[in-house]
Amino acid sequence: MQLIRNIIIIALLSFLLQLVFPWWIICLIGFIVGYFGADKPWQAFVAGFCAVFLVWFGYAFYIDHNNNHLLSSKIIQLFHLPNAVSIIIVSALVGGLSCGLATLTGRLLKNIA
Amino acid sequence: MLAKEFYFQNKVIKVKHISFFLSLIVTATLVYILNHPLGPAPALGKFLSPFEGFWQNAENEKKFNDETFSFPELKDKVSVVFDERLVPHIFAQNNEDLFYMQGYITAKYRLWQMDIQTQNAAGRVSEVVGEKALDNDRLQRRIGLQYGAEKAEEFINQDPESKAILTAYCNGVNAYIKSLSPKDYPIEYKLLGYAPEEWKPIKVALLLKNMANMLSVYEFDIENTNFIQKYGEKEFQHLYTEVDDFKDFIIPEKTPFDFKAEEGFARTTDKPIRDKSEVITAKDQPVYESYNNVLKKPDEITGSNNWAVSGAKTKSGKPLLCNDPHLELNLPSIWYEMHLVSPTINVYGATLPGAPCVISGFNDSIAWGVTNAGRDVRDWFAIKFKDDKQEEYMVDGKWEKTIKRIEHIYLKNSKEFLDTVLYTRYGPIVFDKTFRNAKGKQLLALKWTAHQPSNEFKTFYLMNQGKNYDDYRNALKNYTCPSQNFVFASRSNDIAIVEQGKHPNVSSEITDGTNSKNDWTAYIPSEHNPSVKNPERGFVSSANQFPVDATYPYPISKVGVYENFRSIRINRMLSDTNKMDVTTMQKMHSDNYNIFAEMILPTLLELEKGKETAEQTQLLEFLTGWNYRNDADKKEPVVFEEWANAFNDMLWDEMLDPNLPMKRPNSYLTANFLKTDSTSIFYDNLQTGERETREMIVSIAFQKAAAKLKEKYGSFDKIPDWGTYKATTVMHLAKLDPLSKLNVYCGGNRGIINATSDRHGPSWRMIVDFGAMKGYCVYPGGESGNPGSKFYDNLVEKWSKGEYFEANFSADIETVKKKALFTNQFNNK
Repeated sequence: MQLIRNIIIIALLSFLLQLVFPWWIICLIGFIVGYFGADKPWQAFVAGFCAVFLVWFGYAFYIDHNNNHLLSSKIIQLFHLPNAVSIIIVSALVGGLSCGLATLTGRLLKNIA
Repeated sequence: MLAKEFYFQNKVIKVKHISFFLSLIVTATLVYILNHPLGPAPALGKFLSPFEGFWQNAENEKKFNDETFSFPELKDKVSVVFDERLVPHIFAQNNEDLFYMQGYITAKYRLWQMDIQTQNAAGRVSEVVGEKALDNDRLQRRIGLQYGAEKAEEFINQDPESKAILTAYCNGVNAYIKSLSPKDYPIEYKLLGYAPEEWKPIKVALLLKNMANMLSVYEFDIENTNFIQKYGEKEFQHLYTEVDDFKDFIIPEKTPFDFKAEEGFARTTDKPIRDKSEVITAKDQPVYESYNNVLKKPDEITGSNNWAVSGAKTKSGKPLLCNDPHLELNLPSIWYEMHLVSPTINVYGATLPGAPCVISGFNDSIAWGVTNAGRDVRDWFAIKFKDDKQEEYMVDGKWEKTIKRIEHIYLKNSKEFLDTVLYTRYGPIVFDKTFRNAKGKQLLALKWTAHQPSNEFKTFYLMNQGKNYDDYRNALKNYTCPSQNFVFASRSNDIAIVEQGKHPNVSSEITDGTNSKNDWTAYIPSEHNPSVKNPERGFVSSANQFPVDATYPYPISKVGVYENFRSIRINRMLSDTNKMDVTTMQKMHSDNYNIFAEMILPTLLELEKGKETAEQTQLLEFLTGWNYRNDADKKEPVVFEEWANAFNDMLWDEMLDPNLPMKRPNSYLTANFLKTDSTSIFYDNLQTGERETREMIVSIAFQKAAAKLKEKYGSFDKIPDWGTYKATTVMHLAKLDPLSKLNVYCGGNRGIINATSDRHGPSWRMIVDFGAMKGYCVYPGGESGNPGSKFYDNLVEKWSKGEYFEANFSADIETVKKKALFTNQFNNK
């Protein structure tokens, strides 16, 4: 339950705060939630990763759908990727990994604080 | 179980500390990397985030909303109606608001393009891409584009009306830039990792200088001097002089002129036009020995077509006017289609993103269009310095001081490169020992009309609101560089054409700079430029050909840089047809008839006859039956192109001397040369021991072409059609293939009215019909500069098929709104 709660908190906060702050704000959010809210370190990572992966995947998918894959089909050629979904997944992985690691770091800080 | 702690140098180290710090370091490193560019790749975290990266440039294709904005800088309300093609129709209550909004809307759809084009002209690309652009930046500065732009800006500011328009336009651009946060930047900024900067009036001047650098570069003084030095004056005249039997001048033959040449223009027929008694002769002339020390210019002139037909030759009894400027085909397109309406203006046409007004267009009284005049407006002066310090140089036996202009070039890594450019009374020393290791015996200073103060925008501003012929001529007075043939038609049934620009008494060879008499002493007065109004033949036209016959009182250098093919075809079609209408004009724009082939192919076939193998007979028979049309679905043009190119390479191999920059005679001169000279030494191929003849190189060229085609395609049956072979590309300005339109299938080529080659072509096609008072336009691009918009390249297909869109041209906003996609309302409070 705690894992799901953390995913929801990080997802909500990262969606709202990214409307205003640069992309790395997701790391700050993960770090704080990891410190205060996470149970086990692996759960912290999973929470951070899943939350931002879902948000980035969902938002990119929505944009791409409304854009009829017009831009993604060009960007995948620049990055030598096979299809529109792959650039959505790569984007989501980059966000997910960054936030997951930050959440883990927050949780590990709690161990020594 | 792992130990929870261990000892290191007698200290207790806990695993939990290590894991925290490891995790912290990994996270911080990852975030750092993702936030910074990796080599040519953008910062991936930023770029891939759907909240700020490229995803934000993927526009919603499914809904378009009306919006209302508040701009206290405006004097009154402004409405902008976007039609189905996203063409903006700006309705303002006064001209300042109109140009403010032109700036705002242009920036909204074309910001990066405006920015990069002016940064290129200013020699500032290194700031964006780093050291690899340094050589280009230094060149741009050293030929004086920024220097010329500064003078132009100063001059424009002296005219209060021009200054007001320019300021309003820049304010509009800046209002848009200020409204942006990084997530809104055009995608190219995100890819290259930089940000837009304030739009200043100097940038508008730079855009003009950029055009000058594209179009007013047709002098070959150094190349000509080199040629004369090696082969002599007689061969030079023979190879490079306009041929006498060309009669399709811009100004119809024997048009009388009611003025005499001003002083300073000595009349000689085919020599460079200045009195050359004091000029060093070519024999002892210094030359540069490397192509690096010669400015690159296309072999064939960057061309365009325009014509106007009088009411006497049209179905409606009112004039028709056409224009199609041929430029490099790029995305975003060089043109931005717009409709501007205020109480004194109702104008429609192609605008130059980054600059106010319409450049090629029409209003409800007049229409105008431009082609490149290609007149020589540059000279190179040999400079004699006192010593190696190069602080003083000789003019009329006295020492004059050079002026050092220090160019500050900033590189991407914020390092600064300082370049010292020496300026003489003539202009800058472009190549010297500090730049491209100029190996000439003497340095040369560049003099160019693009360095002179000018206000070309006044021309367009006045033209945009012109009502008649007098307004048109009055508007042209302000126009200096690059020289253009302005075609004109009015609703009141006048047609006209003027070759407009500031034309000095130039030389076609390097000039001795130690004698001030060799400097430009006179300019042809604007009202004496070649012009004709309502000629008897019922039409006016231009297509970059030689402008005027010998009845013109001023001498014009006959050293051939002109492209005469298209004018022959245009004039033939316009003479032969009566009762013309818009359909006739559309067919003409797409006409693929190849005059070059008509001139040269019968001779080639005649000379080749009987020398081919049985298999090659197929190719020759094939060409014999060709109707000289470079249609997309024909294969003949492919064979002809290969043969003609191979022949050209073999014929002019003398001009490939790597240590002596020279220029090949252009295709028109080549075609005449082949027909009229059967014994020239130039038929000899320098690579071989034997002495080749005309017949021999025609045949060898054919063998080479056939071999190449066979190797490339396996058999002659598999030769692709012309449209596939030519593979026209509309290339993104950053040369990124995925953002370009590759392999656009269409006919045409250089020297053909439909001048679409692989990378160049009609960048804007416009037809204005004063009978129905309608305009038809199309261009190879789209209104949006954003590759994430469906309006990015949506016009290319229709353009490639020779189809048009009707301009929604009404001064009544409600009429325009009937076809609106959405409307932006701008309030002044």
